[in-house]
Amino acid sequence: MTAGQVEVLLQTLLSGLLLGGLYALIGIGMTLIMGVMKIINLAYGELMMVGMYIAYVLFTRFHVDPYAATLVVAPALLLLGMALQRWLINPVVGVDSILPENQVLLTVGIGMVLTNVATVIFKSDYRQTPVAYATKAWYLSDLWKKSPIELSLSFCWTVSFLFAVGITAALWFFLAKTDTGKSIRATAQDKDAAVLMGVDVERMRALTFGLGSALVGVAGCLLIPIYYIYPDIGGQFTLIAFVITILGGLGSTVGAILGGLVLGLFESLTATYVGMGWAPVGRFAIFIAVLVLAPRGLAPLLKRGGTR
Amino acid sequence: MKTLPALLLAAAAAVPLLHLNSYVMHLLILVIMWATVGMAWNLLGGYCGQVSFGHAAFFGVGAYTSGLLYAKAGVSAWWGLPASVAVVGAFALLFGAVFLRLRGPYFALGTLAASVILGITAGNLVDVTGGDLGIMIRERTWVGKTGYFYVALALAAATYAVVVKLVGSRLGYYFLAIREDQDAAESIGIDTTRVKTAALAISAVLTGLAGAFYTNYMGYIDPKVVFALHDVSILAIMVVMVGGVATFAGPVVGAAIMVLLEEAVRSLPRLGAAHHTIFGALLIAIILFLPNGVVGDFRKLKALVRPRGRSS
Amino acid sequence: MSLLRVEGVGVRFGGLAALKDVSLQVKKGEIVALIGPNGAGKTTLFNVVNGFTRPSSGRVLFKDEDVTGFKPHLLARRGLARTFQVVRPLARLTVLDNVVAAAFLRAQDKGHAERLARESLHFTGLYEERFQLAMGLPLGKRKRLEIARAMATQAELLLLDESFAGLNPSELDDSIGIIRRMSAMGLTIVIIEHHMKVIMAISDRVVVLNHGEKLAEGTPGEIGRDRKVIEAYLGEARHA
Repeated sequence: MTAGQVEVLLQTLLSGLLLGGLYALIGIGMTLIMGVMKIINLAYGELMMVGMYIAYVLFTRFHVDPYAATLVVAPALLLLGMALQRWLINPVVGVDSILPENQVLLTVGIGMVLTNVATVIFKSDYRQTPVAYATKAWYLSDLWKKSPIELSLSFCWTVSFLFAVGITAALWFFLAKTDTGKSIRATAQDKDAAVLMGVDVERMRALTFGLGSALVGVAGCLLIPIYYIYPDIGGQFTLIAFVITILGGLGSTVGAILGGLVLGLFESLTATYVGMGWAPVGRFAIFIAVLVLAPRGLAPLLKRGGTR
Repeated sequence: MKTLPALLLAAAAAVPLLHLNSYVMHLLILVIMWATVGMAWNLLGGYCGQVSFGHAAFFGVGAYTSGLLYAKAGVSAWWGLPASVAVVGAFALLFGAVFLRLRGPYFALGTLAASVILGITAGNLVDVTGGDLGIMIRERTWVGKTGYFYVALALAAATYAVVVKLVGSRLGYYFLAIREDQDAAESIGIDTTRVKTAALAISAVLTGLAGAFYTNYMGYIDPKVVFALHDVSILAIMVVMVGGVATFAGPVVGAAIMVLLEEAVRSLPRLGAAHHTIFGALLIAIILFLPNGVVGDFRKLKALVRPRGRSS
Repeated sequence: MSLLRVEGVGVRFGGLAALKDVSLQVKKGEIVALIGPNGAGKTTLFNVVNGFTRPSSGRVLFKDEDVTGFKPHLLARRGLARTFQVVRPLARLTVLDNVVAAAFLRAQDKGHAERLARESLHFTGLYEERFQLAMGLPLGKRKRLEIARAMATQAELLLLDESFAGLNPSELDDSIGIIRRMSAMGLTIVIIEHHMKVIMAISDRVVVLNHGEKLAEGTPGEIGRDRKVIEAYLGEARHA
């Protein structure tokens, strides 16, 4: 390989990794919701969109930096998520109807409302938060003068990656070490047993949905300096979240992290070597392939002959 | 009660004689077309229990069969109707082979993904489909709406007849058994794979016919319209849910409500852009309060209007 | 002559062996009871015979044909029917429609299917309830509905999974009566049961499973006296 090819490959991998960090964050929220509540949330991307618009408004009106906006977005979406779960999603579980997929449909309805409300308020225009550091990057050649290749590390992507890592670590700690976190995991594993052990299952479910919403809202804040926002942006991220969740195995946080990284690398490689426009089709194709061929995700396939 | 559908059909057939204005006829044609799509969806979803979130795939393939026959083969787009039976049918068999093994929500997600992929692909294959510019049919078959009205009505009537005949037959029982409990159905000798495939194929072909009709009626199609998630796939589901899942009349009632509601919202000055909000809210409300639709939950509706316990 | 032969069947789920090298034969016209502690593999064995689970080893022969791995509907077609431990009614259908759906396996048309269904309902004493929704039936009648469905497929061999669990004494007697009449008609029956009274009363032979293996086999009397069985299981079993 020539130096040029190596450079392109390394840059692609680096970008993929950083993208993967953000994806992992998106995936973890979804996997929590699907794992704990066995809910398929097709409004997931729209929740991210809400987070992004909140950050957008804070930036344009109050000059709040998007990264700082996470402090507002996280609790806002936590509450929104909990409210949605308590008032809309939970009641559906008890309703008797012929069509079993009502819960999924409900989230479609929620997504439609959220998207349309955003359209009415903000119109369909693409908007941006032009932060000062948007194009800032570190270059390999600055560190190592004699470097044969050039690699650049975008500031925004790096911050987003670090945030993702930090949040994931905090989340792991929360789930593993705190009482609430353990209650959430108990509810995920065996709802009835959790009830018997005194866990307020209803509250855990609302909290989990809120947590998942907050996670994806924060991901939105991380994304907005890099990307642009428009009301229909949610759909692709819902899909991304699904692909990651299914790749990594439903309900597995570690799987979501790995799935996010794998998808990030895949997309980066596809963008460089195949072409930009193919990302959506590639995602859907992976989604269908995994759904049909490996419904338990790739993780069980990787463990050779192990137990479930 | 049994003669009611026949009477309604006769009444509908007489409508063009009323010389209603073009706009009203347009709405009626849409209602009839969506009733067809709804009935088709209901067969697979309401009766057989396989909830498809991707019926736009079949609608779109049917629509493009017509469109491409016109644009590429130079024949009348009406040939698309018979042709779509074969094309959509074959497509449905392939579709089923991939997705019918998925149960419940995964089938829903898989079908959703498939329909979106098709839409994107149709947009990307510019040389074949004209991409996002779509296909325009320059020659109008009829100036007025009457011809189209009768075609749509014939399609709807045929669909209704198919549904009624099927549901009362052995296959109909098998659909219901699979819906209620697929494993129990297997145990009593039902080849669930084959039956589900049959349901899917019939549902798809009927939807595809509606798509082919759409191309001929509107005179213009593009991927974003005919493969649309919210305006085709979800609308099909809403037509059935609002009207009444697993009922004969449900999709017809639902189609009338949805089409008229959409027009009502679109024409309101402020709310015009918000029609998806209203649809979304309606969907949520139906799911929470009237999950079996107007026809299915008719008693609940009556109780709302005339509460029990009041002495008359 | 052996209607059903199970030869060396084993089932592994991940690292766990649910069944290990189980073999048994069922002769035409017999009533065989399959007993054992919870988790012994009884329902798993039914799942293998009926086609819901593919065995990792061994084979299943029905009427001398190797049907290992055949899907359940193929077994049903060949005359093998099965009820479920946790009842699985077609909930939103009427009792009659539940059985009609099953009767269509053999019936030429709807009229014929309805006639077969009615016969089956009369036989299991559910005719009065035929227009009720299956989901509205109490447990005992739901269990009989499963039997009615199985019979409507004109099966020669019926696998009944805990058809007597949770029944009150009078329901129990009714069900025993039904089984006896089925046997008198020439049907072959394998039942999974915990009720010792039922087992002793109706079975010709008893097969005991424990930890996925066949522990013992014999007449009810022999099994009742078998020390291994008493140690492993009969202490757990409910006595009438």
